Amino acid sequence: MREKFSTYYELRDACCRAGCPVCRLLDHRVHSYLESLFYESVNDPSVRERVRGALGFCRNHALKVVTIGDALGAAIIHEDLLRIIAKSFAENRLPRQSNECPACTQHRQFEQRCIDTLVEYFDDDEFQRAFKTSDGVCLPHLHRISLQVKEKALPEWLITVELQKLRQRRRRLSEFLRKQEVQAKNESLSEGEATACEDAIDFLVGTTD
Amino acid sequence: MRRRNRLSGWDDRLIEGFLDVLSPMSERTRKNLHPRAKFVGYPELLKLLEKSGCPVCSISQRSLIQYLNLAFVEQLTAPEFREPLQESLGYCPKHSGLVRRAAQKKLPRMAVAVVYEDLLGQVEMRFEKRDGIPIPSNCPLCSLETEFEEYAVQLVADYCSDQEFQRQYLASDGVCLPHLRLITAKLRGDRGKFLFAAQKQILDRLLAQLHELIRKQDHRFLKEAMSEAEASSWKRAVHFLVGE
Repeated sequence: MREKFSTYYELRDACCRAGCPVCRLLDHRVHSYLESLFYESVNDPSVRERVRGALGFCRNHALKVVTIGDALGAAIIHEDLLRIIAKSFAENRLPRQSNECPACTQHRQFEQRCIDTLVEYFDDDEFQRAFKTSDGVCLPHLHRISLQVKEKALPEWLITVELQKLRQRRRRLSEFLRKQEVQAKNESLSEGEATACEDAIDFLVGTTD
Repeated sequence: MRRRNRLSGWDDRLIEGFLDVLSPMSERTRKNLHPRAKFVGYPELLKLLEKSGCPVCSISQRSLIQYLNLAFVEQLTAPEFREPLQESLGYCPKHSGLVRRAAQKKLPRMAVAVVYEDLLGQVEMRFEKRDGIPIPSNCPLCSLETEFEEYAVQLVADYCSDQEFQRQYLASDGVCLPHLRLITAKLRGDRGKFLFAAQKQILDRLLAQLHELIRKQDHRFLKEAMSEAEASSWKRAVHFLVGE
């Protein structure tokens, strides 16, 4: 029997939650990374060096920093960054960025680990059972999986599950549209129908919020 | 007198401007209808400087929202709107997030549902044919945003020698770092110096507020009242680095 690691169990558990399990897991992981960075690593020289080199975070992760709302941690880190930038403005030049956003590095590494794990456990019965109850993976992650398997085709069971989930999404959108008509005004929207637009958007590009 | 459109409440001239951006147009028409003439002018730029945040971000975000309202309300069945969307399979993650948020507030959800039902249909067709995994690309809003941004950046670059503008700019939050890069690339010689000096002054002000915010977290100074500007300084610092 193959040994299973934490990512396997985390992915399996993420299948019980709404949306793409890889997006859910990534979102949780990056959120925890940023939370711990601002809570306990603000004065860690190596962390500060990486943040300085990247001139902060990319737009996507900077907006997450705002959502996390650790005012003191964010103020300490950004005071340092703004001093460096103000110094370069005093010399009539723009600051240079020397490395990528540290949260993007985490995101990329963990995403790869998730995709590797998914591909490795494609034939695992327990995983397949969990995946079939999930909302399926989003289109960008399905694309990543297809690149990962390279010459081998995607397993038929995965395409069948994805197709089935896609049809359910379309059906919910159609029902949402039907219930906007005057003849159906007394029919109430189910929870899935009420969020069908957001669900469709998230399926096409991954979780955006 | 300008006519206002019945559905959107917009000025008709503005709608024509957006329709020009929407529809494939000849090079000659594009030159004659440069967007700078249509969306926002100098007085509006001055008004934006009185508000919090980067004015270039405000102009481009507001224009995108206005475009989405126009497109999803009045262009829903227009091939000029739907065909590029079918080809790109929707928008990039950043602009999908914008549509997602707008669908919860301003955009008619029914129109969003019509568009996305169609897009999911395209994906389903590809799945059924086992024709590879399609992936969204060439987001139509990215090119539009670049156009709006280019216009707003040029507007700031054009007026940064103007004394009234300079006075208002120094009192404002300035522009964000990504837009400052674009503006300074357009300025030669001394014209760039004003912006660097002004941004330095603006950052010094923000740094003082950040410093106070940090100091007042200390248990010895916890009883000192924090001003609104100090409390929001960390968020403004984040937005200065990445935009709104």
